[in-house]
Amino acid sequence: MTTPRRARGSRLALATLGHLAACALPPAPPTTLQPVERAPADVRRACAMTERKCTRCHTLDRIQVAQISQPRQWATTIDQMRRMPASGISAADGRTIARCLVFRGFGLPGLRELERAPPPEGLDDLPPLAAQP
Amino acid sequence: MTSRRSPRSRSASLVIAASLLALGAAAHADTSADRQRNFAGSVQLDYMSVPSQARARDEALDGATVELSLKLAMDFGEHTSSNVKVCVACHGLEVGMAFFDLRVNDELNFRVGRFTPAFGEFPLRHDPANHRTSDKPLPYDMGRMLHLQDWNLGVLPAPWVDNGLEINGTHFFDEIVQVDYAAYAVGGPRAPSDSLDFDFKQSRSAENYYIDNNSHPVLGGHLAWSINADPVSFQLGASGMTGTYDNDNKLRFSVLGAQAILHIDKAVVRAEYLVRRTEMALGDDPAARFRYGPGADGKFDPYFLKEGFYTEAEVPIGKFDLVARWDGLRRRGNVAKMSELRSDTGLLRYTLGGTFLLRESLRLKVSGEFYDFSDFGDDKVIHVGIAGPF
Repeated sequence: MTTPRRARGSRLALATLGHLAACALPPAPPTTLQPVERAPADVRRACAMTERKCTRCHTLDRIQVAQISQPRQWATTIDQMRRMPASGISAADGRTIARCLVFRGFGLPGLRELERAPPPEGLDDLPPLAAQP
Repeated sequence: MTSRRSPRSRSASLVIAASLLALGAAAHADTSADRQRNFAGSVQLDYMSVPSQARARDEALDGATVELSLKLAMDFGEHTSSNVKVCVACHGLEVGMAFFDLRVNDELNFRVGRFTPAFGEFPLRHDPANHRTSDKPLPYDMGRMLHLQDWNLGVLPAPWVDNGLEINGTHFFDEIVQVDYAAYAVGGPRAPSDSLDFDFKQSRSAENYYIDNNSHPVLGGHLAWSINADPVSFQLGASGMTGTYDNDNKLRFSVLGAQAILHIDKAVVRAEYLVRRTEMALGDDPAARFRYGPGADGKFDPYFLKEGFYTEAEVPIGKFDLVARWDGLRRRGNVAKMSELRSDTGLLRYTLGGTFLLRESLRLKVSGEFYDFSDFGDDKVIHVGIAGPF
């Protein structure tokens, strides 16, 4: 038979374990590349494509921890990935993916900078920045 | 004294010289302003348990292992880039990449240095952070399978790292159909004279130097065709590699591979098949060397055939990635006198597993495997690991 004191002890132990578990496992990390709110619609569509194309060879984690210091570096990196065997990333896809990743990392100023910079050979004629919502 | 060079060596020299000239011209356009540097790495700690064995060390590299890779990529511009990657695993510190890519355009790229030549699909994902199970499919196993010494690993352990030159390229037709090709000349697998199979340790042994053991390059190639109708894509590919592997340049081998990959949104089904025909040295007294006698014609067959396949399905569900894999190996041909394998031996393995995104880029990997050997007792294996890129 469980005494009230033991019952209280069990509840306290469970609560402690639950608290510890909550601390040990912080809020789930994002499993999507969908950028922050108020992203242009074309960027959201671009990120949906990026998730499909890039996970053929690696996880999304690889993108999220990539050490990219400037918008143009994303374009170069995507261009390298595009040339991987059976990447499934055409030049047009590369431009779309660049919009997603540059926006995630650098926001609208990054997209504008990317448009100003001469793009890598395979990613030339970047489409103009879409109308902002 | 006149030096004698084989047509193969002469052709390789000519190709290298032509490549360097083409590249010099292409790279000339790159400027210092185009330079970019990128660092990436990954770590996997895996614990392999064999609950069906009281002591598994005699047949497996069980227990905890760490795989680390550190990669530095340097872009010099549109036409030139370099990659250096070091790996640490059971074999110690190794250089997995040290090469230059000299690109004329998408359709023509020259890769020179130390790299993994194009073969099949899995080697592109060999990094533990890029595949969902803790170990590799059996055809590409590099030391985590049971009875690894009896089987001498898989058909072509991945990543197969070698020194040489590769010419590769990719082309899209109407943004939907992609064709990739690669042709290469590399040092190739190694073994002493009078061998029965590759000696994988020699490929990473400083004692033998990191050079071609028989002065004759191994030649190979890869061709893949894929159709991309987002969100569905389908890929077919074929690979081949042939040459000699012993010090005396006498023992021939050929490896062929085929791949078929289907992507539906983020789910994927993959299948690959590899087969290797390898010549064994019969020696002065084959009867004393081999377990089985000569064939009906009274002669010993110097070849054995090793086949491997895997098929797997991956389905991501939120923070979980679920994976189911069926793979196997089969070896046909004579065996060494003391070998526990028979002349026709097989292995089937069934794997169920998954990964769970813990935090940031850190994933928990758990998988259970059932080994069905034709020549040994069945075994079970459990893998628990942590892996992630950084």
